[in-house]
Amino acid sequence: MKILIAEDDLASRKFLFKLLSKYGKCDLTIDGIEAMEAFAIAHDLGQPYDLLCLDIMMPKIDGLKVFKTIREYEEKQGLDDTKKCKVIITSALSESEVAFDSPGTGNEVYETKPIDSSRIKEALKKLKLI
Amino acid sequence: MSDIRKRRKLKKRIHGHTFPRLEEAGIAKEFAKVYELFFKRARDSILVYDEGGNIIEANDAAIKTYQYKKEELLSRTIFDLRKDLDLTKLQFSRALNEGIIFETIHFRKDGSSLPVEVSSQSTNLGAKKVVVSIIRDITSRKQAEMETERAVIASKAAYEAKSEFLSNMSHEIRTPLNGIIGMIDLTMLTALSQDQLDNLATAKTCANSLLNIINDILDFSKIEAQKLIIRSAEFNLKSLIDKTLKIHYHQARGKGVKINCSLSDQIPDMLWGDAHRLQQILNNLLSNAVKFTDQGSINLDIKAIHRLGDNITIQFSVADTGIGISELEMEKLFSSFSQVDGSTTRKVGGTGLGLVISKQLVELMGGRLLVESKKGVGSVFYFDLKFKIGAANNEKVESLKHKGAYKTDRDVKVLLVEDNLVNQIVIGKMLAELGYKYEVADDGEQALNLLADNHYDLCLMDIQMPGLDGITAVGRIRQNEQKRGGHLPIVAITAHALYGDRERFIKKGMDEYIAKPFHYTELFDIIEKLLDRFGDNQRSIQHVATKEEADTVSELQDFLRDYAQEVKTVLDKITKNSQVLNRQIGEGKLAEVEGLAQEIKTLAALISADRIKASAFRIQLAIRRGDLLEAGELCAELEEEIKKYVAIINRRGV
Repeated sequence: MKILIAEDDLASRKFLFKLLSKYGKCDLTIDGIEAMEAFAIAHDLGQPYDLLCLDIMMPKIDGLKVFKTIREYEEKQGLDDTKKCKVIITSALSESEVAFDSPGTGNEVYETKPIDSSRIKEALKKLKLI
Repeated sequence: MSDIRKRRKLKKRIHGHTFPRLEEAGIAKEFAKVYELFFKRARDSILVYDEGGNIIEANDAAIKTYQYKKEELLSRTIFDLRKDLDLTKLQFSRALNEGIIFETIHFRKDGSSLPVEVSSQSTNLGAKKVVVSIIRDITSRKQAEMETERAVIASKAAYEAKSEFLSNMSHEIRTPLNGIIGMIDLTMLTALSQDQLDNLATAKTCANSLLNIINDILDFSKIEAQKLIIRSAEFNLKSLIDKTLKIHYHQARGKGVKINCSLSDQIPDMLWGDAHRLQQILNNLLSNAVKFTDQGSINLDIKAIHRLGDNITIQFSVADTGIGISELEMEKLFSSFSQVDGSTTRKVGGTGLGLVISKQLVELMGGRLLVESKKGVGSVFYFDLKFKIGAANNEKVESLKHKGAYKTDRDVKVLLVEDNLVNQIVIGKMLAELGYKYEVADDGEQALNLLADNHYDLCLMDIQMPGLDGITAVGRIRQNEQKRGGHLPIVAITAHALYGDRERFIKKGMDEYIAKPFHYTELFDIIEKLLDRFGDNQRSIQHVATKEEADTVSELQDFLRDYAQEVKTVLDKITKNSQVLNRQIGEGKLAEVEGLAQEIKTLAALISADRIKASAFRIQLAIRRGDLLEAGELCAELEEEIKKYVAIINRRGV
């Protein structure tokens, strides 16, 4: 499994990296622009990510914008729902504090921090990645 | 002597003293004396005017206030004391007719001013009609008012600053706490003794409960500051209930308490509302129920009580067989920071904010949280909320693909506004291939100059430019068009395709938007679409090939030569960096490698060498993973990309 982690907070990034490395190869990005770049490069190489772990509050471009942009990109590529990147959206804010209104394609899970190993496992199961 | 007796005696004296004398013949004379005393001794200024506004009498206070001598004052008019002639006339005539009370500014002899409250009333003095004005100096009152106002503004600002601070803090406080919880969790996954595992589990519980408390306090202050927003989105009620119950099952089972739930099947699965806040309310009520119930059961009932068209009203109720609440305690129930019994705080924990927050959340969502309870028997908390019924279909929009040849049959000239030299070449080449004539402007300023003297059928405008940027330039262009008429179709060009950008740019006066890097077919589609839309006023204009175009070509060649030189300098730097990079990967210097890769990335962006940039970035990603082997492989790839790029530049013969 190819995993992209987008998280500006060092401790959270380290946590996700250590935890998710058990499930696949993780790339670490530290802001929204890097995340989009990594996402685009992976598509260009024909090796898109299976999972994106995306923090909402990030510098440069926030996670929500990244999320909407990559979904728009996938839409343009004509990818159907099963081929789209699964996304775990994480935030220190509670869900209703961010205007998160994606259509429920079953490709994304919203997790409020703190995230522990069991919740990540559950999320991966929900996304049918494990 | 008691107060009452004293007062009675006094009253008797007044009665006995005054009335007989009033009945005497000299009444009028006595009154005149009293009035004269009033007039002289009054602390407020009293002025008497004739019908023309001339001052005919003034008391001592007035003389003191206005600083005139008495005979001076008696030779002035109302208009000498005031500035606003028309308003003075109006108010004076109203005083003459019906009497008036108002606030205004009066002026002293030395020209200084004072705020006053004036009560004016007309009366007859013999055969003459006069106006009597009682004028009170309200300087100190005004000052007090101003101070109060200032204090109110200051405290409001302080309050706003506080709530602003709290909402900023919410992220700052939670982030390190999340870090602590995550790291504890990771450590718990490693090999530990039972004792260590226990300690960590306790630490994790502590961190979690601290987080809950912080969340409560932040929510509460947000509600107080009216910053909490109720959102509406489609959600599945059944899965929300399942998720909510799951949280409490464990604790309830630990206490030997059962949780039952009934969800009426008349309620559709999908509803519109704020699922998160609804869950928060139910969580609070259930956790209270579990907290205060030691035996018996807790029942969560959800039923539809009213349905009209697309709207449904649902009642949620949480009933327990817990300690119950007495009528006296009920009053304290929903107030901030108080658990019914102060001592319970220590016993059962919590901030005591849960119910207050829940009550306010229910109200924000248009309902009311009610409670029925009997001490020692149990409590029922319930509320009604109205929801819109959800539809839950996601329709997909098929994108239309252009078919046919990518060559225009129009005779049009495009203005390309772009500061980056490579992009000028690349986009220019695309335009030429697609059959459009074009001219280039380096920035917004130059574009405006070109537009003033030349006709273009369409404009491609880069947004991020030094000097006059794209958005400002478009603003000016649209402004000029309002004077001169016409509409130049403008396509915005940006570096990143961000959600919402299109709408933003269109609002700023652009007609379309395209994100770099784009394929020439996309560019063609957009240009053709716009020319179709704005075509009528353009088709008639015939483009005549001129010497200018030949000049443009030779200019372009000059500029390509200059540009190639710049690119070469940057490429040299990249090459050198990549050699150092290779060496450092061999030496395993992770931090240095990441820094160098970042530098190469930045340099590559400068000359729009996307593939070099991507390779450098991938090296960065590998290093962050600690994968030196992959970094080594990618470094070879990077050197390959650099070589290719050098070859292309050299082949172009510049």
